[in-house]
Amino acid sequence: MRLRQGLRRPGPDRPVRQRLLGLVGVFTALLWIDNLSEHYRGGFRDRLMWIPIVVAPVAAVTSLAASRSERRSIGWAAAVAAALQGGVALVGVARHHRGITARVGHGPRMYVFHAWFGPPIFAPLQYLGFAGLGLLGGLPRRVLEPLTNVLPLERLLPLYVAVSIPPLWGEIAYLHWRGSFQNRAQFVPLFWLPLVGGAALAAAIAPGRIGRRAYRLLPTSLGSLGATGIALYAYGVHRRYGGWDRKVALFNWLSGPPVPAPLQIVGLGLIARTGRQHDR
Amino acid sequence: MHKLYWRDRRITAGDDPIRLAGNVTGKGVGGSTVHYAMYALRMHRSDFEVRSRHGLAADWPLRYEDLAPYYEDVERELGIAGPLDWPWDPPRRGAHPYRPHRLNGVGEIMAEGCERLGIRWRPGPIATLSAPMGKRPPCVYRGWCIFGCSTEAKSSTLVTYVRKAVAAGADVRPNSMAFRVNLDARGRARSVSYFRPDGRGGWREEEQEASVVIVSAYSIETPRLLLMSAGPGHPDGLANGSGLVGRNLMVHSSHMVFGRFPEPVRQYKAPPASTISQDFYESNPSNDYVRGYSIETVGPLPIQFAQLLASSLGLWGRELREVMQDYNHYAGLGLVGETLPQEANGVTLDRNDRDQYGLPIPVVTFSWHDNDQRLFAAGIDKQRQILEAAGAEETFTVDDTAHLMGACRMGDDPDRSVVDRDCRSWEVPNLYICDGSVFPTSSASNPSLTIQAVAARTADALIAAAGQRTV
Repeated sequence: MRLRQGLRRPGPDRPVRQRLLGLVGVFTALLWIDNLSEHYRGGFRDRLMWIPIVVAPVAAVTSLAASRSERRSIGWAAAVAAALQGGVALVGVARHHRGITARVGHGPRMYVFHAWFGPPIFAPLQYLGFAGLGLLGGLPRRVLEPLTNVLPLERLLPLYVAVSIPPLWGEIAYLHWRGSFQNRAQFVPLFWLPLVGGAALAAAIAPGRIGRRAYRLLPTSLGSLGATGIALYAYGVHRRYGGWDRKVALFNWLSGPPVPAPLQIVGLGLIARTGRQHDR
Repeated sequence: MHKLYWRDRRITAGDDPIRLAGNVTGKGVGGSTVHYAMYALRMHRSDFEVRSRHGLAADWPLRYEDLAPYYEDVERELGIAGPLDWPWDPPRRGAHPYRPHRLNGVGEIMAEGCERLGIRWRPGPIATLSAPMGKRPPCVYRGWCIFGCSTEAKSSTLVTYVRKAVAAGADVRPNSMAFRVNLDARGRARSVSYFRPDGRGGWREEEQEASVVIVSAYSIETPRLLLMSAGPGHPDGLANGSGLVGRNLMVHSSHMVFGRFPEPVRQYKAPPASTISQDFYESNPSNDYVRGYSIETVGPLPIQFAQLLASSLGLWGRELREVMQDYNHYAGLGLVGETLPQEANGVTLDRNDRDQYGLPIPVVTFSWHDNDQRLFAAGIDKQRQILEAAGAEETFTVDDTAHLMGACRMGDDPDRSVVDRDCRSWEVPNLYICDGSVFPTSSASNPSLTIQAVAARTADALIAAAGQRTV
């Protein structure tokens, strides 16, 4: 209720939205590193592979600038960059799909086989998620009001977390399947994430105490899962031939478990935390 | 690397003498699995019933169902990385333990050619890890697999079963050469005599007593050891009452076809075992031969490729150099063609010629059966079609054989076999033979997985026999 009242006044949610932009900036930069290493591994065989490498830093910088500025023009710039990033993400999904189907063979099993070693089909959706948050943080309040009047930020952000979890779960499932679940820990996110997703949904739609309790679980459960994932992926690189030895570390980084990937889960935790701070 | 191959003196004979050493036998702990190409295939159900179905060759005393649980055990133990589905026989209960490896350049070409011809293909199931297993790392795709794997991603017996056996207390005596199985007065195996390095460049003779002797020296050295163990009660060799020790030796026709492609293929990258098709495995009434073949990718490294060019096409000097400059543009497919067992093919001893231990050297005799020749001619043609469909500008064929099977076949009839279905010799109750020499037929599958599945089954049978005090 406090939030709804606040939204009718000029900018009381501005700090929250600026925090969101800060998160978008930082995590876009981190995702860019992952993106760069993956496209480098793919040899930049398609010239379009350069586009996210160019757009993401622009989106990151404008988001970070907007997170520290009250100027409306910079907010608009962040929103435009976010929209551009969203477009790039959608094109990315289409191109990744095409990259998989262009390989020899057909049928669902061949699709799965080539998806394991070809472009990761769901990966560009992360940029789409950041684009949504960037728009939320960068657009002027009056533009967002039709949305935030219906779904205030303290409900919108956990809903964002809840919606992000199914594709994330799918990506983790198919990558851990490729790894044959050779380490039992690979099952953990597959059980953990649906529970957290349920809590996020409850935080978004359940009223009163149930929603608040569910909300309280999100930052820690997501943050700890993501941090554990990073540590285990780093251990996974260590288990490859030569491990972290400097002579082969780059090779193992590129061909082993994607160490930065669980940062997305940490990011979701921080987004949930931002929404919860706002709720207070 | 040549130390991995059995290069001791042997005589190869017959109408079609086979190439020995490199691609047929190994020397050292781990045997030929140290340098094998790693295809890990189950035999088809029909492979166990060749005589019943075609009136040729022999039936196995086992059925596929007898081996199926052992295939599963071995696949799990080795961490076989294979495709999600298997469109050919036998039907699988589940996916392979590890996910398949990506296709290499040759694998993509074979897949492309197969797609254009409507031939089914799959990433081949192979015995190298696609994800970590215990302390063993996944494959890093160097492609030196047939010279031994320095990363231990390759699931040779050296880093799997042998390591576990040593941890359980087994005593491995490398660089030793067994030359006789000794019997006691009751006709039971008592011990094995062998030569061991004496530390001064020579050998000393030792004897190891045993309650059970298991001979696992493969299709040349196993019959050789049994023949060398001839004694007063068995003048023709140990366990040779049937006269079949050293007979019915089989190989696989392994004819390769190479094609030159306009774009680089880089056949040296990643394990050579990449793509497989078994669409031509089973007998087809429209063929002028029975049984069939598998088609698999091969990937000889530059020196091997030069050897193939020199030995098969007779290239040398400038011509050889010019073709070798295009090494990266070649892709090759290899056949695993079933050959029929023939009693004339086998292993005998040349008592007039001795090896470095002073032992009679083995004479390996092999001639193709008419059926074999028609089969591999069809296989060569199919391989050429696949490469041409994929865009090969020119092709050439290399004649070769691979793998060894038979020479101490298993069976249910003591007069027609050397060992029973549990690999126990008919005549010496505590003597087992456990290797590819017990195969009654060769199938069109690489034999390593079946050898290990039969070994796992034999181990169970041995444990059961020990429990019943019948060993």
